Amino acid sequence: MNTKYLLIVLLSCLLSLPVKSQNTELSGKWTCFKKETEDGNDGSNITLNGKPYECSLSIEFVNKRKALYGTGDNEPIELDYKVKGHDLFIGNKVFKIEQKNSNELILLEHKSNDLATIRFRYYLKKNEL
Amino acid sequence: MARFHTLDPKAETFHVQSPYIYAANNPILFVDKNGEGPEKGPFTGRVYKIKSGVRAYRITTSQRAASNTYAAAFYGFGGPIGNIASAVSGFGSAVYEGAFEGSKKVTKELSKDPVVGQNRGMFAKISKKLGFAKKVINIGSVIKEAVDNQPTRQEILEGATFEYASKLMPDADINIVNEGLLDINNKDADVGMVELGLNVIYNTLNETLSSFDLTDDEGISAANEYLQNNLDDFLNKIKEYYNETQEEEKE
Repeated sequence: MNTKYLLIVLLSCLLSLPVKSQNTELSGKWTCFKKETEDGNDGSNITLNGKPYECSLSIEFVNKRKALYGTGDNEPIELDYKVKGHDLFIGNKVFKIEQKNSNELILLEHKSNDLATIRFRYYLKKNEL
Repeated sequence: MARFHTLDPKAETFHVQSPYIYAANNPILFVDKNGEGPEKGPFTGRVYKIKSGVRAYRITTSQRAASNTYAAAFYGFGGPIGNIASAVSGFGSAVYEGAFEGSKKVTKELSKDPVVGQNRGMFAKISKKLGFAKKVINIGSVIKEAVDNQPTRQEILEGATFEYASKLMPDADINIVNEGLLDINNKDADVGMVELGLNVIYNTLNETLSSFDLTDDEGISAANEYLQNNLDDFLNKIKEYYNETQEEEKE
C-alpha cells in the first residue's frame, strides 16, 4: 500500500515538473541564403533552365503569433504561425526546424502533396539589427 | 456538355465530333480560346501577369466543394461539374457567379487563417467560417453532390503539377495563403512559357501515372512510390517534352 502511495506521489511530482523543451522559440528577421533539396542537390539538374536554385525567402517573427513572410519582390504578408515541437506551421506550409542557433536557422519543408517526391531545405541567416 | 450555339469554324478538322461541340467536349482539359481547335493542357488560359511576375491558378478540392455549396445555397441549382466547367472555361451563368462569389469568399477566409489555409479535409471548417452551412442543409439532393470534397484525378494531378513546378520552374512558389495559386516571382517571367511548363508537367504526370487510380489512397501511395523510384526518368521526360514543345512553338 505504502509503495503504491509513494509511486503515485513520485509520479505526480514528476508530472508537475516543468518540461524542459528544446529552444525552438523564434524571433527576429531571417533571410534565406541557400536552398537545396533534401539530399543536398543544388537544383542544376532538376530545374528546366538547368540553373541552381536561388532563394528569396524572408521570415520575420514579429511576436509569438505573427510573422511577416516575404518572397521575391512581393510585399511581405502578415501571417499567424505556431511552433509545435520541432514543426513550424505558417500559412499553408509546415517546416521542420532542423537547426536553430543565434544566427542560423535550417528549415526542411514537409511533404505538402501526396505525389511530392522532392523537398526543399532552406538555410536562413538572422539579420543584424 | 459544352456546346456552341453556332457552328464551330474548325468543324471539318474535328469531324468525328459534333460541329456544335466546344473544346472536344471537355472544357476542363481543353480550352478552345478562338475556335481554332482545342489546345491541350488544363493550364491554358489560367496564367496571367501580376505586379511581381506571373501567377497561375487552379481550383482546389476544398475550394470547389465550398464554391459549389455556396452556389447551391444561393442559386439553388448546378452541381460541381457545371460550376467547375464554368469557372475554368469562363462561361457566364448564375452558377458561375455563385462559384465565383464562393471562391472569393473562400480565398478571403483562407488568407486569414493558416490552419484553414492548409486546405486539406477542411471543408467543414471553411463552411462554418463562411456561415452558410446551415442554409445548405435544406436544399436537398444537390447538396450531396455539391459537398463532395473527394479530390478528382484532375485535381490531384493539378496539385502535383504545382508541387513539381515549384521545384522545376525558377522562382516558382506555391502561394503561402492559397495553395490554388502558383506565383512566379520574376518580373521578366513570360505567361506563355509558364503556361507551357505547367501543361508539360501536368501531361507528363498524367501519362506517367496513367495506370494508377489516383482517387484511391492505395493508388496514390503506389503512384508516389513509382515516382520516387523513377524520379530521374520522370524529370528527364518533363525536360525533353518541354524542350521539344518549346521548339515547336518557336517554329
